[in-house]
Amino acid sequence: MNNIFRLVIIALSWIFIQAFIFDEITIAWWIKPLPYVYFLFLIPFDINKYGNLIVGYFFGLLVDAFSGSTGLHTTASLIAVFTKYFIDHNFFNLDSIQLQGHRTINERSVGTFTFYTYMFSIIFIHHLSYFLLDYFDFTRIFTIIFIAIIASIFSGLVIIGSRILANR
Amino acid sequence: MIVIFRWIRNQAYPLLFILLFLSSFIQVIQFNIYQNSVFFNQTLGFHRKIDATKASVAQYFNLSNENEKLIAENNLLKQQLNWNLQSITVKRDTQFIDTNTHTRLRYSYINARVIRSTINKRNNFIVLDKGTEAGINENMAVVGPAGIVGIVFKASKNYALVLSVLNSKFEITPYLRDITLNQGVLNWNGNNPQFASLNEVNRFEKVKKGMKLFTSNYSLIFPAGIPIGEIEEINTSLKSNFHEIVVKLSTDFTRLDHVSVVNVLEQEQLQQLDNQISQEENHE
Repeated sequence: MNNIFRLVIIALSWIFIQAFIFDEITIAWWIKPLPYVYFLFLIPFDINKYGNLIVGYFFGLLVDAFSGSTGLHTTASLIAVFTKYFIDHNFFNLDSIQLQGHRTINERSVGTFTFYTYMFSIIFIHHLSYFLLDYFDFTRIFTIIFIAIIASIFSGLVIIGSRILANR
Repeated sequence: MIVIFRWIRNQAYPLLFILLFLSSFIQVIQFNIYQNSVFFNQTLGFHRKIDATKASVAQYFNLSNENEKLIAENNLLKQQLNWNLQSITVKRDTQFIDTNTHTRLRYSYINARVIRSTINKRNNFIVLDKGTEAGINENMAVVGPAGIVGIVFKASKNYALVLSVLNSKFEITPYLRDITLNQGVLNWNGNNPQFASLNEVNRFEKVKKGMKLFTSNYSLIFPAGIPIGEIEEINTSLKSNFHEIVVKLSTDFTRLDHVSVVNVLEQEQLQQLDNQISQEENHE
């Protein structure tokens, strides 16, 4: 129960950070970070698979409500959650990670390099689906991929920064 | 029947994913969801209040900037006054009477402040702090101190949602004063919020870099002569019959604050005429 409460607080704070900081600050038009996606990495992997999808859906819906878009964040975060569940259950030995006492996939449970590769790939999938839906124009696929890569890098940097702050 | 239920039970996970995906995807493609949006009128009231507080703090720090912009607008208005009156004052006496309209007012302006605006999406919207109570209705033009801002898309009692120029659904035909040309379609390509693209201007029109674009007098929504921007770059290829023009927008969408909503006073008459035309077309 305590754990769920903690997750809800973290989810809400990422939504607020996204809506009131990263939606407002523009460094350049091609930098559009969406670091709220980090919350999806905090969902424990032993969650019920239906619950996993529903959590992703409603989390995205809340982000949408606060940043004033319709369905963009919902779809992207749903795709990210689905992919994450698939990768968790096909690429990692969850039983051994669980025996070590971890409930999420992080640096200590799978190693630094593996974790960051995993994290960046899911962030990229999330960002790519977001910008594909946002632009909705397949003739400009290279612009979209470019923006998605840049945004993934910046989101990743923000997430790494927040992890350093949280672990201090 | 049992077979169907069993299939549904076995495939529940992909089915749930597809169901949720469709429900969110429909939200994306149904652009008009704003029309029926419960968020806009109710749930986000809380968010709008935060927006309003946040905006009031930001507005204080922007005062000097705003002043400069208002001075610039004043200068522009003076220039426009001269420009408009040149053709009308034929006589030597400086009688500033508009002979065409007999000083009849065509537009009234409602001042409003921006409490939320985005520039980092493909389809951007702006929220104003006034709504139907102040007389703002759908399809009214919104202009800022420097130029056009957008069109009111939806108005609630106290707030108005504006379709910004930085939106894929916004299109306008500009007027190039230097060559007196009403041609082309201006819209935003989704990249840099400072630039828009102007297409469908004939290749043989002599457009040049630095020419100014204004709203045309053919528009039923925008008053004529409001600045849109300036031509920044012209690309002409022999393969195409049209110029590809990059326009630097005159409005800085990152620093929007005071805007005016334009109320066309004779909108009903214009609408009636329009309806008559379409009716006659239907009869034929």
